[in-house]
Amino acid sequence: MLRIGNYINFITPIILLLTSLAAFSQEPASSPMVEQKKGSVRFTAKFEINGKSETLDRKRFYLIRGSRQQNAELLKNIAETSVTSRDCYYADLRRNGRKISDEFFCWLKTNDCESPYCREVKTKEEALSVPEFAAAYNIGLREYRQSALALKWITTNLPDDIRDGYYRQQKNVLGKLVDLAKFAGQEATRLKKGSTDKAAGFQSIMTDRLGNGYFLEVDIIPPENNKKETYLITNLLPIVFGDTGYVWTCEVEIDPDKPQAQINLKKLITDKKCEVFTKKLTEVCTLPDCSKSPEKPAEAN
Amino acid sequence: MKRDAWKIFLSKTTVILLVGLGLSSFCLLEISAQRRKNVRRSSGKVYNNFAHNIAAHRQSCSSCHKSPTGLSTAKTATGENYKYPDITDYPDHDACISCHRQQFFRGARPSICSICHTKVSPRDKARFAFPVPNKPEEFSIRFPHNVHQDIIAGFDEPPVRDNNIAAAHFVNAKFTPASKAQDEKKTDYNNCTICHVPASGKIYTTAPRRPQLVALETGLVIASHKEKFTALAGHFKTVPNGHNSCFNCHYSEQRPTRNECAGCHILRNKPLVESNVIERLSLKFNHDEATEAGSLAHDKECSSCHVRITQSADLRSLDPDVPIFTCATSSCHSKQVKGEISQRNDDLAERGKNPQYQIKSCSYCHSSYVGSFQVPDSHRAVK
Repeated sequence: MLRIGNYINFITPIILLLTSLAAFSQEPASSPMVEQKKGSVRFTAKFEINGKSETLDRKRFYLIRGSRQQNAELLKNIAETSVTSRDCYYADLRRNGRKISDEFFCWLKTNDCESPYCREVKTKEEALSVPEFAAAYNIGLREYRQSALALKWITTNLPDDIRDGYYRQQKNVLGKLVDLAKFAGQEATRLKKGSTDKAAGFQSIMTDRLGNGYFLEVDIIPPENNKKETYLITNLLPIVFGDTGYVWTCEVEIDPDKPQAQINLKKLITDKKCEVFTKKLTEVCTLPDCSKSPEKPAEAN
Repeated sequence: MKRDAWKIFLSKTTVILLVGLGLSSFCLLEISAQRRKNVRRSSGKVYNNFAHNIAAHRQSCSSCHKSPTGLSTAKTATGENYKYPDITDYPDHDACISCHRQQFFRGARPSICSICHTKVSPRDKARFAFPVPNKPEEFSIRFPHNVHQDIIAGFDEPPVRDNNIAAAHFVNAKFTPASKAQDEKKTDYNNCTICHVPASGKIYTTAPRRPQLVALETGLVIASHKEKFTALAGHFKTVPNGHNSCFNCHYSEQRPTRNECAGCHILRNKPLVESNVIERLSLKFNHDEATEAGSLAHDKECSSCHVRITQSADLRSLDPDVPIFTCATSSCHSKQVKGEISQRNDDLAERGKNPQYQIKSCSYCHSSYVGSFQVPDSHRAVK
């Protein structure tokens, strides 16, 4: 006859094993509840160069939890990152034997474009005036047998290095910095409230044509004896003026009681809240003279 | 001692055997029940509907769909029609027959034909429109707004900025009518309007967005919604509903290309039934509203009000909502918005004294339906 004691002898180690397994699979105890509020900032990206005010329109800025000191590793990486200008990217391609026409350079320059994606090539005449576009248009014409479609889809037939090679190159550089910045924001959040929320402590915006952008619903966990929390605003990737690239890393204090608080880059610089990394471009690449009228390549039959 | 050890060994073995026996009988019973169910299913199944989300159909898209299959029509910005290669038709019979041969030849009118064909007849090739209109959407669309914004809005300043040239490419969302833009000879950079243009022709039925998120305030529900308000097409912007908005860049080289369907089309767990109802909270905002002088009242760029868009990485997390402060801090609407909120507070106080009191405020932006909800925190912050 089986006795209850024997069952207990048998079941106890199993229960102990299961309990210890369950205990191991638990997350470590989270930090005590912290008071959490939301703040928001209206950021205006303007700064003065050679006595002239410049608006940093359509530029990405990032908000990262913590002070400059807390984000020292990120700042070190920003300082060490080198930058290539658009003109030098295409000049390099040309030096490496790639045929890039003067007309293509000039199209980018006069349209203030980084790539052919910035605006549509509207007319056949315009397409035929730039050899790269003419070649793409002619491929399209042969494939689709319609002029309107060949024009509309001109970028699909452009070689990738001249179409978006510069964008991809910049994206690689920026991607590494953004990953570091996200990690810095997450790490600062984890230290503050024991949360591993990937979105916490990091935001990005693009400024509008007036240089304004909003950081909304910013997580605020103020330190003791202070109702504000310190964040870092930075553009990570240099914004180029002339032969110099600028990266601003500015400390801002966000007050949850002041919604849409105005923060101006110019004032932050004046108040010495920013560290500015200036990067002399390794090379200034001269563009061809764009005042000459281009010759028209032939249209495919 | 030996006898005790023997007894313990026996008792443990018995328990293990019993548990094992129980488990295996349960599994066997379950398997046989499942088999019976499957037999019933296969015998009673009517093959008159196609779903992408069943295991057998979760294959590479190109194993069935060919691209392109025909031409679709679209219009250029100047109104010129053009035809573009598109996926305009169902996959061929080959795509189905390898698994469904039996169903293809079942009876005089195999029900499987009715999935694509309007008539089940060997002599009639006519098919339903593709994709099938009014069929629940099995896929959602992945479109990273932030990536596309960075491409079209990228270039950092030329050394000497020419004031006649727009400084970047996300310029002045083109609320400006085409004729006016031509007059001004502005460079027409790619921006939101390459996908979102004023809606036209259609009048939508309307309902507020996310009503589940704004709980009704007990006792404050307006009994009757007498206000008659019809939103016109011009109140809204369109969203792309075909491949022409994507193929112009992603047809052959730029990934995801036309053959990499899963780059944009993500299979839903549950099909979505499309609705003609627009869910918007501030129903009365009219994108196309004109001033007395005839110019457009709302001529700022999209991201001046849709401030969250530039933070969005995909459509799922996209929140196009316009925070109230973008209007409440503007010189145009500040007075009215603040007045409405103040009026609302007075109304609530009045309602406290007189339960029959009708709350009328919030109608500057909202229909009375929304006005019956609780005032959200974002509005309380407006001072």
